[in-house]
Amino acid sequence: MAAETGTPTTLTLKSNDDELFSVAESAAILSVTIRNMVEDGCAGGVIPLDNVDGKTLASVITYMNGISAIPADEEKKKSYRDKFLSDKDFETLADMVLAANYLNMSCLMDAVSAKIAQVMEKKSVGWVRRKFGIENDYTPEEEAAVKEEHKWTFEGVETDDDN
Amino acid sequence: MRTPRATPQKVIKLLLLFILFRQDPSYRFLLQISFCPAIVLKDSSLMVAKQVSIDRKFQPQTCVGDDRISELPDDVLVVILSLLSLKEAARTSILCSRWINLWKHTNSLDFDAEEAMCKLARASERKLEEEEGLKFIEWVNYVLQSHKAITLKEFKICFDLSEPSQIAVTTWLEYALARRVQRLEFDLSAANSFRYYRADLNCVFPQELLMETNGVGSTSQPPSDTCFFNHHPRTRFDFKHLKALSLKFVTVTREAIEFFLNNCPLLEKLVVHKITKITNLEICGSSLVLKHLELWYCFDLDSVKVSAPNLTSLSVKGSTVLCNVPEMPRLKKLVIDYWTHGEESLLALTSLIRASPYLQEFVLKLGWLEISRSDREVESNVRFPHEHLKVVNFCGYYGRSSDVEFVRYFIDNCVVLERLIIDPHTVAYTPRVPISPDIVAEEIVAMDCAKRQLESQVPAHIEWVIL
Repeated sequence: MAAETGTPTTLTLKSNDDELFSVAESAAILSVTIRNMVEDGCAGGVIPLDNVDGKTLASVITYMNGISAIPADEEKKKSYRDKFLSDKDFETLADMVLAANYLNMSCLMDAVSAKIAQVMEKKSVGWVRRKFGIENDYTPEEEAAVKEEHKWTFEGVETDDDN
Repeated sequence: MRTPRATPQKVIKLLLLFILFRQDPSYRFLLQISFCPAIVLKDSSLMVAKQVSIDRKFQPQTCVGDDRISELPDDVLVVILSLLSLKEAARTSILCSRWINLWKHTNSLDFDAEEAMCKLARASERKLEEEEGLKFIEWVNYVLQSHKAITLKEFKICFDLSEPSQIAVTTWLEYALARRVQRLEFDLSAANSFRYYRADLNCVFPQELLMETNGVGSTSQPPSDTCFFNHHPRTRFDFKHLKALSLKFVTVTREAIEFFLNNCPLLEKLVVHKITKITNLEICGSSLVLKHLELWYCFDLDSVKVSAPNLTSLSVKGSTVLCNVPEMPRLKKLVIDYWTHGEESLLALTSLIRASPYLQEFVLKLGWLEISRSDREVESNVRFPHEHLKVVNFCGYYGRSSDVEFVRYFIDNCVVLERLIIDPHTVAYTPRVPISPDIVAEEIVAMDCAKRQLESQVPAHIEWVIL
């Protein structure tokens, strides 16, 4: 573990496309995966992160630095997260959620998942299929049966179509 | 006359104070649906082992989207589905065969039937209540049978259910507790006023759920010695994970409340509405992690003593006496919900503001009971500087001298007051029923009073609005 005094320890992270990143240990251990490596003493050299590409890792590190600079104030952290994710497209969000899952960062995972869930909220089945290019592999009979079984899920609303 | 045990020095009656963390009301189900399956086929078992046979007719005409969502692993998709409403999550089964069972693994079960509750509130018919109640129970049971989660973050029931539904309620509680639920909420409030004062018709939290595995004594009377439950080593369920417990219109004993406080080391939020037969309660302990405590309409509860070091919000409503005004140094926002009558002064409420030295925002929600205006003299020499209070919101301003007096208190004592909001609308009684025209007329008078009375009182540097 890092010494309590002196200059802050930095870690070197390596993405799966061989980009290297320096990040303060105090920020990096937001990832439980990295924290476990640090605690097990495996963080001496370069930490390879095989499931994250450089572009995504850069983004995750920006988040790590930003959120760890905010003192224990849940509201401020939340507004940082909202702002951080506000300009991300779906492609990036999908990469981020995979990275957050792999790095075991619950706060980022929850925030990105919520953002993706928001896209699906109040949308019709047809809209979601089109939006995400989900291939409907049911036969018409099967689809009708599934719909019948889940009839109760339509006792509400949906904002249909492309909004 | 019973007297409270603690010093009655700061006794305040009919008091509610709470911090708002109201979730946004669910608007999800307000719109009408326009989508209904026309073909009805009973057998859906063929979906279990699905062979992909794509019918071209059902292919999307234009594929504007990216298929990245299908690249996400199941466990990530389940996390995303857990953030949708239960109905929306389950509706994704229709997307394609891969999605058919995903929703059954979500870690949150929130049985929201707001639409049916609105219907009940408006109609107020016993027969409809029974019908809707049965429908709700059937729905919950159906979902619980298909659901497959091993652990649950959230389990929430919100419906008008009374004593005849006890068996279902017990089963659901067992279901949630067996899955080591973290946030458990049972809100069985009546949709309309019937049953409101009939606590005897409420469902109960069965004491045997707190007892040992073998169920010994499950039918016997709960022991009078409260220590029986404390630190019990082998209860039927593991309560270590419980973080939030909310029981509204569900009868629970004092022993059970003490059990939760003693056996749930992570318990941050405890909400109890409408319990009877408990006359006094002590929520005290230096090791409590409790942050939010809400005790509403516990009409037998004469006094409550609270001392929990991490408490940031406390809410007591009804005729309960708060024995002590706990110091709340962490409190930033305070909401007092208070029913007043005649020309009663509101200055007694300020002791609560004084107990929260770092308060930044204060909200008063004033309810009106046989209220009247007079020309009584206004107290204007109460001095107690509030260093941090920036926003004051007075809902239910009626235009009494007492209301002017209360506003003056803030103008005189809040050093950094930036914003004053005067809302002359009444605090709604029943959320699902429209306000009567008489009340609307009263609100218009109150609005005129507010303009006339406060125009000259508020200094120019304070931004103020009448809503």
